[in-house]
Amino acid sequence: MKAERESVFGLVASVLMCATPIAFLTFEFMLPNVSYPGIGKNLLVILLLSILTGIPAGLLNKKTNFAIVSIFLYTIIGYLLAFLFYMFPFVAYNANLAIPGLYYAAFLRFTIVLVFLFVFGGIIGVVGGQYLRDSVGRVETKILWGEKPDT
Amino acid sequence: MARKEWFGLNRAVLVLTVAFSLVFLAFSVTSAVTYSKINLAQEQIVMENEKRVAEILPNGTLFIGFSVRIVNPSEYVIHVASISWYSEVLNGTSAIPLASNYTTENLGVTIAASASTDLAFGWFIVGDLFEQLKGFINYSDSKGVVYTLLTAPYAHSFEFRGWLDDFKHDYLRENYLNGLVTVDLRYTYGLGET
Repeated sequence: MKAERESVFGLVASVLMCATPIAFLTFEFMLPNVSYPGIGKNLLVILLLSILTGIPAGLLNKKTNFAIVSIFLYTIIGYLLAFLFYMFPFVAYNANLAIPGLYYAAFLRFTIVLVFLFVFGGIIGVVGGQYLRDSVGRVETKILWGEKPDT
Repeated sequence: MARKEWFGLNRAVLVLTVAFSLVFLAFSVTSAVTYSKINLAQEQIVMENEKRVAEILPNGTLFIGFSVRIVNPSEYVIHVASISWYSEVLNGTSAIPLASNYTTENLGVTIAASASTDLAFGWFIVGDLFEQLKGFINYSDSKGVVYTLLTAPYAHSFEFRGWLDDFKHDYLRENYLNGLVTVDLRYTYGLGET
């Protein structure tokens, strides 16, 4: 039961915290000239940051299936968050649409390719994160339970 | 003991992930606020006091002019890309070009943030062009339409294009990004606009 609670905590924590990089990367890809810092629509940088984003999901989730689910969840939440930021001037300031005609469809059209990149990078990151978690566990076990050197 | 160590790792991961997350949240909010400010600036930057002038000088020369005020209440400097003005007399299906003025980006003209700038253009109509204009007025008279040098159907077209601050604006494929940081103000008079 406790282990299950820990798994759910890991899932929720990784989903909430990994969603913001996804949101920024999506927003930046859509509007690179007004975003800070500007990545300049560089797909390699986006992939590397996606991998980096996946690492905490791998570290925080002991179960691999939870880690994989967290990738999909944080990608969806991050993407929706980016859409909210995209709507921000029109919702918060009641501004006129900056790009008239198919404004919201344009967002989907320009950024949908990133979703695949986020999931792909996320899987690589999760694998790395879980490998790191296992490695640390092995080292800890060896330190705690291994043979002590003679003093 | 082992659990404690594991929590040590988890805690470190959590702190780093929270920091990572907050940094990107700050980037996102900053970018969204900038996006909003640009959108509002697009609405706030306007033209005022458009004035058209047709005047006969003491030496008999005709002076055609146009003046306008560009109001920039936003916090962004406008880097002028081009300012163009031309005036003509419409003659049914054709026109007699009278005056034109074009300023390009190379001149480095800017309009400061939270400031207004008055622009004025003028042209002296002399020589053949003046004779052509008088010919048009005489011909119109013969057709029953009475014009004078001051009341001839002068048409004006003015366009002001600029870039907001230093935001990148030279995208080739993504034209919407150029449009996002472009100020484009147009004024036409007598060209059949409704």
